Amino acid sequence: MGKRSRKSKGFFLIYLILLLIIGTSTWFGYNYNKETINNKNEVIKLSKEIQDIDKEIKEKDSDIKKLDKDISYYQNIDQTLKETKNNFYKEIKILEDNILSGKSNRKIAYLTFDDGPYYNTYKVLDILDKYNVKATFFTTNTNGENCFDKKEENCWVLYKEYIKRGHTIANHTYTHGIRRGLYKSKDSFIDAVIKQEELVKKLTDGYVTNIVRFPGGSSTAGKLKTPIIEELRKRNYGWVDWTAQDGDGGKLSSKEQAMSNFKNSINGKIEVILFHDYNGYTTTLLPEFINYLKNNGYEMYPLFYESNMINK
Amino acid sequence: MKKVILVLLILIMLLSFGYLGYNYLEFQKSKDIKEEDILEERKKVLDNKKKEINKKEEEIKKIKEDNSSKIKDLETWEKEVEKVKGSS
Repeated sequence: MGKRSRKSKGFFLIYLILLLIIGTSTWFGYNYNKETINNKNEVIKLSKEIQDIDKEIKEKDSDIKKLDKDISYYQNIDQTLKETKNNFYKEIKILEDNILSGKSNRKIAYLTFDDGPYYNTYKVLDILDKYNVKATFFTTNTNGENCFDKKEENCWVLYKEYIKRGHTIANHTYTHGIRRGLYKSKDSFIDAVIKQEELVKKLTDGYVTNIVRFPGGSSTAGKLKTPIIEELRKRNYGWVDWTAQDGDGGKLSSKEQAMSNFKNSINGKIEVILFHDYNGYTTTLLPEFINYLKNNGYEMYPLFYESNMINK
Repeated sequence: MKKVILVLLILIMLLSFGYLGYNYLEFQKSKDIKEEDILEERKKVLDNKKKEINKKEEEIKKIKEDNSSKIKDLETWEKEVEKVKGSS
């Protein structure tokens, strides 16, 4: 073999080696590149998953906030209940204002029952429940703990029953002693009011009753009416008479008379209706009275201190 | 001519080394996928949130059971408020 031939072979070998090296490094380089791309795609995929999970975490945080709010709401149920009841009376006041200013054509009837509790009061409460009507009971302790109309029964338990069924309790004085010195002086009247308030508080674990009705109506107080009202105002009591009635506070000879009295007295946009829960005619006719009021567009609510109908 | 080819091949070889080196470094960088750990950690967080939600839902269920009559009262009073609101 000549020198030239060996030299050619040498170059060929070098080319081969160089090509091998180039091929191998290119191949490895390409594979590393492929792996790098795969890894970067994996990172993109994982980042998307992380984003999705972060979004879900944010939603869960929002759900947790809502649940915490619900927990607080239910844990403070007593406070929430109190606030809701206050809102209820606030809304009635707004409605009253709108009715009195002419902005609303709606009508309100406040059903009030005087002189109880009696054993018969249970019947009245059941009727009110049946028609989903809330009322106000002007209570007195004339009958003491025993029911006037069923001596072996305890009537004091009815005070809690009034509250349980959503009605309001008001003050008709401890003695209702129109002929037994109630109107002897301003102090005798105020003492009877305070005594009844204390009784209500004791029997209801603290219910505050700040609406008073004069036994016999405010005119019964005569000359004492003004000083009594002044004293009531100082003690943050409101007072109310009535604008309509079925006459059961006097002598009723028939159901027809009671119904006639009732219908003839109902004509205002806001009525405070006087009943006595002892009276048989009233109890019998109560469903008809309620239906009459509903059919004539009256909404029935319990009285409350802030009402425009309460004198303050 | 053979020398030119040789030089060219050496240049190409150097380029291919460069290509290999660059891709190797990029590969090494990309190997360390922190996102896997982050994802695992996020999954744990989400899991804990789900457990927390279940716990709170159970708590609410218990409170509702213990205060069912008060809650019923509350619902009644809320309906009464809506009734008054009506169209006042």
